[in-house]
Amino acid sequence: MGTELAKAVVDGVLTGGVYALMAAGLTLIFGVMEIINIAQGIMVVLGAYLSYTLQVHAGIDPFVGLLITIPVMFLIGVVIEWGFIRRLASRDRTALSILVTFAVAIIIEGILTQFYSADLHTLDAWYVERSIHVAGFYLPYIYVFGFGLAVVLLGALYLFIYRSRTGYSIRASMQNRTGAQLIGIDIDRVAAVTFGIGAAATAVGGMVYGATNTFNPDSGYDLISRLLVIVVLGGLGSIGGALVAAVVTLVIEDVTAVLWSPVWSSTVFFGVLVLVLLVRPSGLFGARAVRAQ
Amino acid sequence: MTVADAPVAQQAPDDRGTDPLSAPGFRLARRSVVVLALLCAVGFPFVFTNPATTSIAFFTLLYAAAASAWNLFSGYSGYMALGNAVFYGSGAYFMADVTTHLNERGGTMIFAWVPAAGLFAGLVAVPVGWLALRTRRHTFVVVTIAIFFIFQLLAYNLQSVTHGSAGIELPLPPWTAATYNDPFYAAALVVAVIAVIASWAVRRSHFGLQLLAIRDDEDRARGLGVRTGRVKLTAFVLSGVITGMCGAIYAYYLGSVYPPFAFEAIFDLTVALMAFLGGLGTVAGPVVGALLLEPLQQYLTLQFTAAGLSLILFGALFLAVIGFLPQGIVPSLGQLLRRLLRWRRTAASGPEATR
Amino acid sequence: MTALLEVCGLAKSYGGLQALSECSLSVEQGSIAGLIGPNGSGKTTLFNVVTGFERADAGSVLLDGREITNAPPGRIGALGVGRTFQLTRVFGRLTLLENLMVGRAGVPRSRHRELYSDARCLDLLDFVGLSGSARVPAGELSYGQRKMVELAMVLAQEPRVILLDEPAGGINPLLIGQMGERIRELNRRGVTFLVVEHNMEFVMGLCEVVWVMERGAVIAHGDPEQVRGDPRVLDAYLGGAVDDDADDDVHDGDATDATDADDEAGHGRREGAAR
Repeated sequence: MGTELAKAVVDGVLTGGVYALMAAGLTLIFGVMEIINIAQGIMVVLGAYLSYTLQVHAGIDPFVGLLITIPVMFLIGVVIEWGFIRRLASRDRTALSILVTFAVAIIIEGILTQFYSADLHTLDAWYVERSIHVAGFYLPYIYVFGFGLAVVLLGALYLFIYRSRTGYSIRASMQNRTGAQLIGIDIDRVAAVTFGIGAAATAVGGMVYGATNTFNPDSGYDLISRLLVIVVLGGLGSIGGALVAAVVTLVIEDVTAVLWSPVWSSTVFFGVLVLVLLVRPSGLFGARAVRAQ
Repeated sequence: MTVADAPVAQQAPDDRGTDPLSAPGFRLARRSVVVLALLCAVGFPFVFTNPATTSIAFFTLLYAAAASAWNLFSGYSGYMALGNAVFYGSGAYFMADVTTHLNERGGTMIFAWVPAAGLFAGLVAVPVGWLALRTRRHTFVVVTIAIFFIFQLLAYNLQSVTHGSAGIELPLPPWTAATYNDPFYAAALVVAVIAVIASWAVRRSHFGLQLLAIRDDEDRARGLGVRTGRVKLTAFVLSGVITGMCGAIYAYYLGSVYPPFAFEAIFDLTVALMAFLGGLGTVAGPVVGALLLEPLQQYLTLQFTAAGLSLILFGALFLAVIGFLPQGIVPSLGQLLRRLLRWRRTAASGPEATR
Repeated sequence: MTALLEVCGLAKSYGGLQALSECSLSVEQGSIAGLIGPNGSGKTTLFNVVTGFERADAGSVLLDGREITNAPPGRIGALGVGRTFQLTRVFGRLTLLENLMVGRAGVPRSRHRELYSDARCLDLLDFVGLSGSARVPAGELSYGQRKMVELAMVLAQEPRVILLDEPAGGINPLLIGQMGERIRELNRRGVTFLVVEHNMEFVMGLCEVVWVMERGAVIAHGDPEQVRGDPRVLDAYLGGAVDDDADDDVHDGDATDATDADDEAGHGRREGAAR
């Protein structure tokens, strides 16, 4: 039992890292643009399909394929932002964005269903089957690599946001949109880049998700529900919060599967949100994420 | 110097003071339209007896009720709830559980359980609403979505109550195929009328005014003494009761309930779309939206058996509605009419009257 | 004369920023009091705390001797404290009449018919000169008109004291005059006022007592003449922005014994903070 429990925790941390990356993209988008991108879930599935297509039709290894899928998803994100999000009226912006991105998600799901049908697929590679033997555990390589990549990218994201010029613009926009405009920041460009980053995160998440799960277009719902829970739990707009929330919820879910029953583990995942909201309605780090007007 | 002496104090009356659409002539016209619509709705199944047609009509009425219920909370308060499917499904499962446990025989008496199902859904709405309404507007939406998924998972996992993925079968009504739909149609009509009356009554009442004030500026409303928490929760529960009744009827119609049918993510988006299309926050809006969209949706699913295409079209339609008619049909029409009438009025009274 | 509204030693901080510290003032029943001070001196925060929109860290607020510190805003409103906002807050999609009616929730049921009858609401709109637009959505009105609507909304609840946050800000001079007239008329009928304003001419012409705040505390008070000549007040404003809507001739003489440097700084600042 002890080793099983420990393994559950480790599994939770590893998958949590990947979810953290995707959730970071989602919460960043909210922080900068005050919109909630419901399409983030289906975009992960899209990323998975892209990696799958590259692997099956071009024989490209999924990790290598990221060199293609990341820029592609980034561009798709920019296009979505430019095409649908930018035109949103400023009143009720957030509420409208939910509906609009939900509709975009439905469209993407429809496109995927048309092209790939509802059959389940998965990514195959040597690191999916094989595990590394560490301290008495067998950890599938894919989890380790995925986690490693997620950590590297989150670190890169941190550096980008806190050390680069564009990152500075992003942070400024997050704190005070109008103020940022007044000092000459191109809000439109910032929005496009931010959305693109969020989309790029789904490329990575999609690859790992695709390698560790079977997926079809319907998988988007489960993904977005989890990402939303993580983001709200961590506090909308707080990247650090998303990180903590992702790891915490996934660990709890995996531990529940071991301690209680796998059947209830996903319900508990959502239940954590309910519990936290009872105590802290704005999420774990919500207060800090509130934007100044 | 008194107020009476203050210069340019009064606004020019009538030109903007009265709403041309509240003139007695229009009021009569509106009432006649409502009566006419009701008569048509009642007479519909007698004229169009084809079961395929009455089936579409049934769903249209059901969604008209559900969309009105959604609008009653989300449209009036401005809090977008995307988890009403919770109540739809709760009503459905209640209906299924009760009728099978009591070993009821199929028949019209089953409909007597519909109000109970609605009340059950309302009871569910109390803690759900209380929890969800503790959060800010943005978070609120997400919380309702999360709660929806919790309920869907519960439906799969609470085997003792819901029989999980196997679902529950409801008693089979003894009606013939030719007139099978008619009792359901009647039930849906009754719920739709209830929903519209509730919408209308709330809109006219002080309770509704408080909701609308909350929509525009919640803090200000609270400052003026509005009990915002209580008002929001009441509207939420009312919305849940009506939606629950819809779910109960749906369950009986289908004959069985399964988790993905009872708790369906698209349901929320559909009712929201209908309310948006017709006019968020109006009484007639959701009904108009349902009248336009539901037949279209049924038609699309029949024509395009490829599920993917119907999804694409649905999403595209949604975007088109939000993009081109952000206010919705009913308010846009109203504005158009008002402008026409004012233009005619000023044109009739001559150029000197215009400012 | 008794103090209707009393603030004693109020303190409020936001993180590291001390918005109010040891702030005390009192408003006599039936008077029109003014509250001035440079930007950031805490005037709006004081209003927020008094009316329950923000919590005080320390100190107390008394209405007619009764403690109302940190009570919920709806309750404070019901007790007779009305308040308008710097940036007008009306319900844009509701008609003027409906805007007024919202406040009915804040008064006891027994007074509903008396205070919120259709006739009275129309009367109130008439008082602010907007009865012709009773059924127009508030969002369609001009800024100045919305300010008047706000005033009517406050009046509907029959407050004993009204806190006005920059009633003359951002509206044309003609409307400013009307605003002043209405305040005087209401005062004659027994309503007490505490007015925050940057428009010096407006405040000095309207108020019997003026309180001056700087950096979260009251630094001076007295009748308009006293305050105008108080060196502490001048000192406070030299570092801040003063909005003199009036022409120079009204004030030049009064800045009097201040040094040339003071004068220059005062003139230089006049372009600031025109809200």
